[in-house]
Amino acid sequence: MKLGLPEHGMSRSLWGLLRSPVPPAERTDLLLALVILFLFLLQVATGILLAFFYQPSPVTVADSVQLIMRDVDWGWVVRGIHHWSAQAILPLCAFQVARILWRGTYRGQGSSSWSLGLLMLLCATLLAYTGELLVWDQAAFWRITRALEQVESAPLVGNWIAHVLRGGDEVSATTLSRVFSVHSLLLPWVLGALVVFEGWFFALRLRGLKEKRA
Amino acid sequence: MILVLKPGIDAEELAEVMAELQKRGIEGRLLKNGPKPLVHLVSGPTRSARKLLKLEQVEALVPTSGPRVRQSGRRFYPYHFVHLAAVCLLLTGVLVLFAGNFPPGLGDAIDPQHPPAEVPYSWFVRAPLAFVALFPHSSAWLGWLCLYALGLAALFLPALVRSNASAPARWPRLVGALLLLGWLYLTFGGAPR
Repeated sequence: MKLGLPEHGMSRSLWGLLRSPVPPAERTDLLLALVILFLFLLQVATGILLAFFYQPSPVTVADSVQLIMRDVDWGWVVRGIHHWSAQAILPLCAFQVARILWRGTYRGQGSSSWSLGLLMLLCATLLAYTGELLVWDQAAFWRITRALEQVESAPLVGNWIAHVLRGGDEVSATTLSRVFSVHSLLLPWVLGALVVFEGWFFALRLRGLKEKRA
Repeated sequence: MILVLKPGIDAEELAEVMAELQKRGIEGRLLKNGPKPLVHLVSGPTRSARKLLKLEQVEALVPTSGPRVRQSGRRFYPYHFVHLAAVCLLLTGVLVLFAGNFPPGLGDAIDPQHPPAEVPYSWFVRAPLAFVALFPHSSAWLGWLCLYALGLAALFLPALVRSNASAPARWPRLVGALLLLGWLYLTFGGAPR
C-alpha cells in the first residue's frame, strides 16, 4: 500500500505531526499522555452507552443500574470498563505529575504540562467521585451528605458549591440530578479541553525542537 | 541507511551504483515506488557507503540508525504508534478482566435516618477529607485554607523555582516526596468525618 503525503491544510499538518520524530527524553511522557487520552476516550464512549439506560431519579436509579448489569447485552462489561478506567486514569495522571516533578521539567516549556497535568488530575478525581455517587445507594447518599457538610466550611466558595450541588437544604432528588449533570455534561468537557490543550502544547514543543535541529 | 538516487537515472547508471555497493560488500535493496529511486542498505559495512556520495548518481544518504538518529528520536508513526496500540489493547484486556471479576456493585437502599458508623469514602478523596478532619469542626476552614495554599503553590511551582535547567533545585522533589508520604498516610490511615 502506498501512503501518500496529503498536500493541503490540516491533514498535511496532522500527517506531519504524526511523522515527527519524538526525542527519546519525551517518549515516555508522550506514551503516558496518550494512554491517559485513550482511557478518557474509553470513558466517554462507555459513558454515552450507559447514559442510554441510566435514569437519574432516586426512584428509578437502582432499577436502571440493575437493568444495565443484568438485562442489557454487554451492559456489565460497559459499566465495568467505565468504572475501572476511571480508577486507572487517576494513578496514571498522578504518576505523570510526579514524573514531571522528579525530572524537574516543570520549568520553561514544560510548565504548561505541569499546570495542565495538575488540573487534569483534579478534574479526573472530581469525575470519579461524582461517578461513584450516581448509584445513589446508602453509601453514596452518606458520602455526598458528609462531604458537602465538610465542603461548606471551605472559605470563599465552599458554601456556594455545597448549596449549588445540594439544590436545597438537604440532599435530595435535585442533588442526584445536579451531580449527574456535573458528571456527564460539565466535567468531561473541561477534561477534554485540558487534554486538547496538553496535546497542542506538546505539538508546539515538538515543532520547536524540530526547528531548533533544522 | 538509505541511499537516495537522482531522479530519472537509467538502468545502466543504477547498475553502476549497485556494483559499487557490491564491491564494498554492502547488500542493498532497490525501492522504485517513489519519485526518486532509493536503495535500502540492509547489511554489510554500511558506514563506508558515505564514500558513494562522490558518485554523480547519488543525491543523498539518509541514516536510519546511529547516534544522530537516536538523539533526534524515532518518528511517532509508525514506531511509537505500534507500541501505543499494543499498550492500549493490553489495557483494554485488563479492564475487561477486572469488569468481569470485580464488577462495580449496587449497595443497600438509602436510609436517611441511620447513617453508617463510618462513611466509606473512595480512596482518591480520603486524603483531603481526612486532612480537613484533623482540624476541629469550628476551625475546619483552616484545613481548607491549607489545601488551597498547597494547590496554588503546586500550580505556580514553575514561577516559584528559580534554579536553572542544568542544575534543577532539589527542594521541590523533597517536598513532593514528603507530600506523597503524607497523602498515602492520610489515604490508608486517616479518618475523614
